[in-house]
This record gives sequence, C-alpha cells and structure tokens, in this order.
Amino acid sequence: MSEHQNHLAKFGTAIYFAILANITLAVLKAIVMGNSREKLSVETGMFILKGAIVVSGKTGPMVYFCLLLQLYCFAGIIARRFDSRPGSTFSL
Amino acid sequence: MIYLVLTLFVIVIFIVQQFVDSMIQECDYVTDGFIMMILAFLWLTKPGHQRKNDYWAYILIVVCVKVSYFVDRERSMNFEVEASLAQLRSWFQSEVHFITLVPLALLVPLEWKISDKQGLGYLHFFQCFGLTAAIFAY
Repeated sequence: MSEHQNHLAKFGTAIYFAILANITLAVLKAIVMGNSREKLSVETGMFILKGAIVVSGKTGPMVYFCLLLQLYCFAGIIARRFDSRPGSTFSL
Repeated sequence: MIYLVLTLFVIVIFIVQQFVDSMIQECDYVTDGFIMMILAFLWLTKPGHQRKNDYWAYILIVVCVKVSYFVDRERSMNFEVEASLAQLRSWFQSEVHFITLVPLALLVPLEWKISDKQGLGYLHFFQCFGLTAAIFAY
C-alpha cells in the first residue's frame, strides 16, 4: 500500500470515528435535554448517512443525496396531507 | 370455509413466491416499482382539489429514482439495456467529480432545511456540515 493510500485509509477511519462520536453526542444530548425519539432518529440517521457515503465509494454521494432528498420529499407529502376527518382520504 | 382458507393460503404463498423471486432477480427495479406505487397511492388517495399541491415533491422523487439508476453499476439479469442508454450511463459514471462533489455540495442546503424544519439546532447542522466537509476532502 502506497503512502498516499495509507493516509487516505487513516483519514477514512478518522471520519468513521467522527461519525460515531457525533452519534454518541446526539444520544447523550437527547437523554440530557429530553428530546423526542423522532428527533433523535433524524439526527442519527443523518450521521449514519455520512458513513454510508464513505463506505459506498464514488457513487455514494449521489446515491445517498438522492435517498435523503426522496425521504425529505416523502416526509413533506405525508406532513401536508389534510383530511376533513381522520382517515377520510383512505377508502380502506 | 376450509376450501376458502386453503385457496387464500395458496394465493398468498404464490404472491410471496413471486415477490421473493422478483426481489432476487431484479431487486433494484422492484424497489423502484414499489416507490412509484407508494407515490401513486399517495397521489390517488388525495382529495381532488389538493392533487396539484406538492407537485414539485413528486417530480423530485421521480428524478431521484432516475438519477440513482444512472449511478447503479449492476446489470439486469433479464433485460438488455439499450446501447445509447448504456453509453449515457457509462458516461455519467465516468464523470467522477460531477457525481461526487456536486451532491456533497447540494447536501449542505438540504441538511440545513431538514435541521431547520425539525428544529435540530445549529449544533446539529454544523456537525453535519463538518462531516460533509471531511468527506469532500476525503
């Protein structure tokens, strides 16, 4: 393994540790401040997404950007559904 | 009653078998198909006067599905990709700077939007921004 590759591997490992530290910090913050589980899952999910980008290599950023944008759009669609009464838009 | 239960059981087993088989052979396309089905379901179950709302979100989801297809390196087991489409796909994948740096740059405003809407605060945004910058440098 060349010196450049060695440096890259160390940098990649540092990113993984940073992601782990950020997730730990988010969990501790949620416990101390009493944040909801929904908020915590969004926070940790965004950090895990960074790990997935690093793991996936060159295609990772595009794939996971698309994934996050899709989830954001789905969340927007679901959040803005209005019903005149609960469940009225679902015929089931 | 027993015949009805048995018939339903056979139908359910058949559907499960078809689903498993399709997921093994064409997982990517089946997943895309499910996303489109959910999207169609969400649109159809909206009241008529609200169907034009959020059209940009529907368009973005479809665009994301299509863009993800172009960076997918796997091939279909059953279908031949058209030559011009395969060429476009290989060109897209060869533009390494475009498919790595541009989405990382676009992640920043998207994460800001999510942090803002969820009320996650500046600390979370700067944590995400720091990690994105680290991946950018990597």
